Amino acid sequence: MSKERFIERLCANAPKAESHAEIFALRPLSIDEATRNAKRLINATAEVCKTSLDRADWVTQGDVTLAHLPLGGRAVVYHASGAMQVMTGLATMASLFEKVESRERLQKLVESVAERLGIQRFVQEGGSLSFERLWQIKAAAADRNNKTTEAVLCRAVGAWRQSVGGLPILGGASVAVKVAGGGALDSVAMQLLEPQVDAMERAALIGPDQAAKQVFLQLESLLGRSKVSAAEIDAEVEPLRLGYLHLGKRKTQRVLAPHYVAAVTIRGEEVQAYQFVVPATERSFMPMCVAGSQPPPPQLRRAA
Amino acid sequence: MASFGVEAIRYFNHARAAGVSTAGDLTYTFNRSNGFDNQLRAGGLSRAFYFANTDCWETDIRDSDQGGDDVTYADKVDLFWIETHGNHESDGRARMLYDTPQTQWRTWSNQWQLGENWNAEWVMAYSCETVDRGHITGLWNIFAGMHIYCGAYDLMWDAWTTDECGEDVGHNLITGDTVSDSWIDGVSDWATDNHPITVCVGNAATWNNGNIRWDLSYLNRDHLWGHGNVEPDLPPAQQACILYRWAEG
Repeated sequence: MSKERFIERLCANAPKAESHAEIFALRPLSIDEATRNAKRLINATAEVCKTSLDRADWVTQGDVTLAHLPLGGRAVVYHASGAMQVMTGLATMASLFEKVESRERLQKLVESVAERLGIQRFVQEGGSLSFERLWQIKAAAADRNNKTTEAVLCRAVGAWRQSVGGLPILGGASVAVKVAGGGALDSVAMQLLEPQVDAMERAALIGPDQAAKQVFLQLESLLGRSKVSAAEIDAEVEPLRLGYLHLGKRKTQRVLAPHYVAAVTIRGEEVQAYQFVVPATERSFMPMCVAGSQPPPPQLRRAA
Repeated sequence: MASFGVEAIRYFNHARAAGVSTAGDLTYTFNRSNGFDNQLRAGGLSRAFYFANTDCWETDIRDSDQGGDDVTYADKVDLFWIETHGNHESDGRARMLYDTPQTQWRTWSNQWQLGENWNAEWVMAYSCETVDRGHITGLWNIFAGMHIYCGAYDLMWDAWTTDECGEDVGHNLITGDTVSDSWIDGVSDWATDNHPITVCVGNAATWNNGNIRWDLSYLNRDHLWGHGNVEPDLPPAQQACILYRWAEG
């Protein structure tokens, strides 16, 4: 695909950006505050499960706090971000659905469990949370004669997206609620950010075409020197998305700034799937680790 | 003490220069592999090896009977983590790319035979499409005592949102999740379009004439050594079915 075609596809249906967007400072959460939030989530989980989960054994392990809950459940609090998870302790293949349900029914099911958990109450003022996507975990089997069984539905997972100032906060699901058969709660995970109500700045945005050029440069860099140039690679390109970035559970983040995100797939002999991130502002407000990590020092491979 | 090994390839410049593949480099390979390594060592496992880039050789997973050296590497550890570009053949064989030809540029799963007399219980491959759900039995030969293969039946993304996947999988393992849950939950952030799958074999009691006893399966019962139950090995003669569990969105 030529560079021009690549850029054209990235920009097709790209969100129409305003000329400016707000930059928000994020309120840092102390470990105590994050743990209090986790206790609220454990209490909400206990209400949904109609069981007592108040006898927790809390331990700090490195950059997380763990709570071992009754019935094999646990909660995890990530110190860097305040993200948290509560698992109820259901066995992996227990509480299967009686049959594979329609997506509509499953979405209603996960939404009803999420409502009982009160996930919206965990979103701070000025933010919002909207349903984004339904996932399903299924299982099947085959015998030696390649006789395959019908798939069974193990879990339905609802994913919600937090938005601030009209833009989504991109990254992992802001809230994920995993539900087993009969509507039993399997787990809930939250990585909600707490932006200050007042923006710290309004910054000028670059257009999608400028961002698309940077994405092409990043792809070209990864494809490196080859007998086939980047422009000859047949890539599937999804339109650019514009949103704030959440850097993950294990990273401390102080600022929310808008970025463009591109998804590029290449299906050759090797299948490749990349996401690229480009600041949507003329100047950069938050450090992105686009260099990636390096491995530990090499060990002796073996005697030749 | 249980042990694990890591092989992770970020750069493919030699494969490209040799005209073997047009595959691009990756960015977050070592974010994932280092995170996995850190968690497992924190969980009390012993790292037997961590090879990177051209130090990863296809012979490390190829069966010793077929000219490989799995007895020293992939089949010598309880858990083997590999990250590279992948795909599968039309008959369901997995294949993965290396950046050095030792002695081939790629590995094919018909040359794997894991768990036979050796250690391997679990292999985790952060690579695209190494499992073909339409030809799942094409992977059967790899289970010579090994319990679960954790891979992908479609894309696995190299993205800023997947840089913590290795750490998440490792953390799940050392906090008592099953191996199957650890993989599927750990590589899923329920936003990025990853397609994890876990594949294992089961005996006749598990197959139960097609009315699967999921409760007996490795998917339901296998945990990391030291962090929960581990089922006994199932020799090929006792294997009656292949079971698989996946996430789709």
